[in-house]
Amino acid sequence: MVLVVSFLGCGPGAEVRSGRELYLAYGCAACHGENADGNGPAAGLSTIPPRDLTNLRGYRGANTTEGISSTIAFGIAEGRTGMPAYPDIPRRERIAIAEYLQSLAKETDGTPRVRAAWVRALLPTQETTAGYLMIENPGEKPVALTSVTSPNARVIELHVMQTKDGLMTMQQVSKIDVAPREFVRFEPGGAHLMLIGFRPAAEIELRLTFDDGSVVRVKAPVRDVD
Amino acid sequence: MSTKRLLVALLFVLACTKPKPEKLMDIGEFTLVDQDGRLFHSSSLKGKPALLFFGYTHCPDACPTTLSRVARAYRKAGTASREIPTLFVSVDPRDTPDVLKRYLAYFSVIPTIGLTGSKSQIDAVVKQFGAQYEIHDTGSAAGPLVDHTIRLFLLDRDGDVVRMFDPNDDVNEIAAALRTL
Repeated sequence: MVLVVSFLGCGPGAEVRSGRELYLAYGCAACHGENADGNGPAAGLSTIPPRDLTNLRGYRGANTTEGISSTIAFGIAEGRTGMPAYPDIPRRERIAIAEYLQSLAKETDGTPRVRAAWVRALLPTQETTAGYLMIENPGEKPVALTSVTSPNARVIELHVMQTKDGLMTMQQVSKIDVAPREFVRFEPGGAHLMLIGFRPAAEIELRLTFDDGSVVRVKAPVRDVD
Repeated sequence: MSTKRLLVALLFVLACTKPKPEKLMDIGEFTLVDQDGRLFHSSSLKGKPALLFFGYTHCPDACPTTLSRVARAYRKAGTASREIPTLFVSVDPRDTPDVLKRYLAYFSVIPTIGLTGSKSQIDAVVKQFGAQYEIHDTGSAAGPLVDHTIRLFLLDRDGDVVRMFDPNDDVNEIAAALRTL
């Protein structure tokens, strides 16, 4: 099927179409999303947030056609779940995918991106729970998350946690810094949002305010984790 | 060098003869109060392995995360592991037996026993396990926060700690331990 599509892709504009077909056929969308904006269904499973591929400047590898093709083939070694290597995708197809991605390029306004947000369901007898998400700073300047609110929580605090020699210590912080072109991940056993006076719902809205004045609203599903 | 080789050889022999796992800590006996408000003596576990960890129900992240890891381990380990209880020892005076019982019921796959007690009973057990806790009033709207040891202790049939799991350890390891004890 994949081959048929790429052989047929000879007419004007067909390269773009076949690049997209390949992008979908090889499952790139699982992590990077159907629109290549880094928001695929499996994005939250990755330790490192999948790139927003429409932001060419945010690429970890080179963003030339050859560079992207090479990243697809060799991956990016970056801890447990960086971009895997796909050496079996023929070079011609990698180039087609690379050209497709380049055709999507948008200028980023540098606004922080928030992804894969979710909230732990409230446990019996409790009124406080934790929320998790990933923040990516696609810009060239540092930003800091300074506050989070939700109609479903009386107060939301930022907490960081450390475990050393089996001892867990938790600390409230006033902000979370995100360096330029970097990301931070809030996750179980690490930094988390503490939602106090939580009013349960299937999904809640979180409103994140950053020190550059930007405000990002995201939907966060509430998940049972028994 | 030759001593090292000898040790390695010895380890192989030991591994092959499957001895009782090495005791990591001498715990001794302890007494607490269970989730039904009854006295709980550690001797009631004799002949039964158990998992134990310290926590508190208001814990927003570390304890629910550990409990869900333990729940995954029980699911992976299968039905035989249901004979192995997990003792949740609360270090927070806000946790009454009733609160513990209702809280732990959420993790229905884990055969939990919620334990609390007087401060001196709790402090004694914490010390016996070489654990720590400290209650802080940090000004959080959630009330006091408790720093505490989050290690999972695995007790064998003799009540000896034979293994400890940290939060980054693989759940499969916990499951394997539940299966083999």
